[in-house]
Amino acid sequence: MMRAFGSAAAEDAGKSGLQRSTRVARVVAGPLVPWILPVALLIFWQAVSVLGWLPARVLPSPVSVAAAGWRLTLTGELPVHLLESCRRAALGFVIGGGLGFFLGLANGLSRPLHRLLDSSLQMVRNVPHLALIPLVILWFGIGEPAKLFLIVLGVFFPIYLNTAHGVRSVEPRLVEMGRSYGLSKWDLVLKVVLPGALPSILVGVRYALGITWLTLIVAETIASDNGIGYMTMNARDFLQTDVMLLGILLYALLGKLADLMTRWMEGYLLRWNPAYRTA
Amino acid sequence: MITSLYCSPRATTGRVAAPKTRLLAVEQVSRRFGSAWALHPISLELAPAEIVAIVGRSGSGKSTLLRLVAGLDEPTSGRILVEGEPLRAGVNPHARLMFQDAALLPWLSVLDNVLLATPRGSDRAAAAKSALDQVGLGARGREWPLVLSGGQRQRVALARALASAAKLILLDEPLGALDALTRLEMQNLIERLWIERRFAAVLVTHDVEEAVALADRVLVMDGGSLVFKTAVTLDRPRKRTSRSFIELKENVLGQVMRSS
Repeated sequence: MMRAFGSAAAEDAGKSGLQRSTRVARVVAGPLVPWILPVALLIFWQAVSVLGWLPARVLPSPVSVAAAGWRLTLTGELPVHLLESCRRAALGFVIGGGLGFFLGLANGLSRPLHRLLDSSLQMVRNVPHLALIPLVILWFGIGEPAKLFLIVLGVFFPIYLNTAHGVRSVEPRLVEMGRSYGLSKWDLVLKVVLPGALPSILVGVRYALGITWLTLIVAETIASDNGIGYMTMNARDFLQTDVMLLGILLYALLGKLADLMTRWMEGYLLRWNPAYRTA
Repeated sequence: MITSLYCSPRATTGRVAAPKTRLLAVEQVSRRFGSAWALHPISLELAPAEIVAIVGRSGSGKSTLLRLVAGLDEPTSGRILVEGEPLRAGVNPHARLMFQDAALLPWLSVLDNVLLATPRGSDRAAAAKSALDQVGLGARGREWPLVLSGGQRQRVALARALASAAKLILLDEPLGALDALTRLEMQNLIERLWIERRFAAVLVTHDVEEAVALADRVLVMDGGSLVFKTAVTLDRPRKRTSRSFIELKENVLGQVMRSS
């Protein structure tokens, strides 16, 4: 997106001297452009804090947040919570995503199965999974299974829906070709159906990752004795605003990281498609 | 045993008298969709190394017939035999279909697309490579299909059909989506490949000139029935400007126009 915008702007330039000079600036600073705003904001925030216009009780300065991060890293607290949150997210994602993928694949391939299951699943989908928290606590208590259950439930639907949709919208021509060339059922699924459904599946993955972090935050904030959410809530009890902010920023960072990973995966797995080819 | 007969190289170029053995026999085959007959009972025979063209307007039943021969659809009545063996339910293992769009898998490289079709056991890579060479795309094997032009993709599809070593190639308006110049190029390529490899083919087209240029026999279909057939006994490669070519073309065109 950013790249496309940049190149379009570069094409427009070159008409006048002024535009040419901006083009030079763009080429030089190209990869840095997206960072201008966040960095400027950080500097402004730090300045406001240093000047004392923003009380540390309300919003601590970026430097003190970084310091809190360093302090907690040294004590070993931060790595433990970070690892715990990531483990939770990964486990929930794999279970929920796996279930969604296989059910989506099965329902996409088999019309009877689709008729049997899809409308029921669509009905359940309309319940926001976080609304189930009271019930989930009743069923599982406030331990680990409750958190995992919420993540699994949240991840399941976007992956299920997009896999089933992707499988069903594979070009019939290609399936027919595969049949005409004598591909076995297994080969047909592996070489024709799955790659054809992949763009749609990856959309589901990206969506599910967003839900994973969101669910994690809620689940860890409600009841937990480890994880970033616990760290943040615990800090609230001691009015450590710098640690609270650190937790919030970490969630943002993890979400961004997961998004980058899926983008990279898309760029690689869908490199045959000019629309996805990036770097 | 019988197969060896078909593979025997023929030394002469130009037209060869078809042997008596039948590669394909369509016996009183019909297809009905609901209450509408897409295809009235029809019979058709094909000798090895013979190209039969089926010409007709849209909805004349020609594609329906081709899909039945390919085994992608099942006849309402009648039966289809390949080398005397009735076709079982499911895809015809001896036939390879080529569509109007190339139907290449965009996520496989050009070479892998051709490789997909080559039979197991043999030296698959070499067979795929040589098929690509024959259609003039040997150097582009590593590229993605989406970067090729429409004509090039169709050539890859042709290479795929050839590499499969199928006895019968079914062409469903294979050149219909190409521009006139590319179409002419492809017709010449198909003719040249036929002279080299002597495959049997059923060509469904609405281009009468294409039919006369490529086929040994031309059938005209209308309303799900066969309404006209003629043999094309011109020498290959065929000269489209020759008097007999033009006369034949006009004759077939007249039959198509008269129908319906």
